[in-house]
Amino acid sequence: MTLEDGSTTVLAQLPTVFSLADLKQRMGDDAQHAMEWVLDWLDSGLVRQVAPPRPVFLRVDGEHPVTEEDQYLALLRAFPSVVIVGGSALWRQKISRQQDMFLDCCVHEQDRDCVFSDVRLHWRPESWWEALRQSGGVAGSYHGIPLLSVEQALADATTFTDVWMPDQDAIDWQGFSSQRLLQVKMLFKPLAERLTTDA
Amino acid sequence: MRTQHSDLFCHRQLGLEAMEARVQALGEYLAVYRASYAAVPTRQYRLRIRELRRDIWRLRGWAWYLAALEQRPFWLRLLEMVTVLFASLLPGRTVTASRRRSRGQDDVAHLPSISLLERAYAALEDDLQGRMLTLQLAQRQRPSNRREQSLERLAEKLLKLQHARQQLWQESGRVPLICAVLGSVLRMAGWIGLVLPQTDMADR
Repeated sequence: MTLEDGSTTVLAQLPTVFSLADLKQRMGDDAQHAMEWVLDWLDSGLVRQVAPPRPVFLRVDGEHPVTEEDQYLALLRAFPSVVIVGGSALWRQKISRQQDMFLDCCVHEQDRDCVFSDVRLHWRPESWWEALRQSGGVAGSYHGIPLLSVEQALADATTFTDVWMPDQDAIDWQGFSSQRLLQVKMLFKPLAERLTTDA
Repeated sequence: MRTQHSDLFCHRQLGLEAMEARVQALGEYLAVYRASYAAVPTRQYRLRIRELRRDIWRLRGWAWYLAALEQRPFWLRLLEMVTVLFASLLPGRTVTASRRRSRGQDDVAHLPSISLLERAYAALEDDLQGRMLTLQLAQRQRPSNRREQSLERLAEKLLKLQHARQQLWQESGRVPLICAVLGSVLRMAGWIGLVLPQTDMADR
């Protein structure tokens, strides 16, 4: 497949992670071509749609290998509600000595397909984020994506049972509060019960 | 006449869809900001949360206006008269989409209502185009009639949305007042627990 000269020049100027809106803004009056160009780039494997059908794209040309930072940025742009959970959150805070095989994240979006084979996206209800707020907020962020605290990660993993957690003896329990864990569990429990009832 | 009425109805439906999708998206940002603010209560987070809430109320206010256009209740006619009066009192100026206006060095910028609505339409347009790209790519690789029909439907919807987006500018004079008035009414109704239309839209 042959690409237009203009199209390859524009692609080279784009950041590794970009949205359709970014491209249209860059093209100005030529925005009508944006769709055709992206389709050609997708077809020739120069870009990938991060989470089809969301209009967020990742450049995958050989010159610029996709870094971990790019991957996290792509996730954040495709899923604004993304939060790192379970053992993935603990490993990234150096609380766990066991590394995760998959990056476990929770999102509120229903469509959760994404191009990253090492990322697992789990759905949580809207009130889950409110529960995080009520339990003292998230424990910081990793490349811009919020992370759960050890109590939140544990409560979430035991309540929803869909994320990986390290072995107990691989967790650094310093600073852990069983009272906080109980508080978070109380907040998560009705959410999980509602999910079971709805299902 | 009938076509014109059906076009108007279609534009309103697309407008409502754009507002709802944007409220949902901003609500997600708001939820994450609030969870982050609870841990690190910085001024920047507080201001962002406040601005996001304002944006959500204004979008919901406009959605309420669009939904009311079909039935045209008494209050809507009154509101329209006020907006006409209000517009005649203000010196004429050209309304254009603009970026967020910052009030101070550390302040989170405020987006004018017309730009806020314009962004909601633009976001829905991007979403539709994203869906089309996914289908078009699959269609190039494995053509199917069903997919072709889906693409045609999406292209038609996109065209209508682009017309609706242009129509928005014809109402640019009344947008700020309607968003402010109806957004405030919804907000106050929320405080006192009164159920009004649009309360089903994401409210955080």
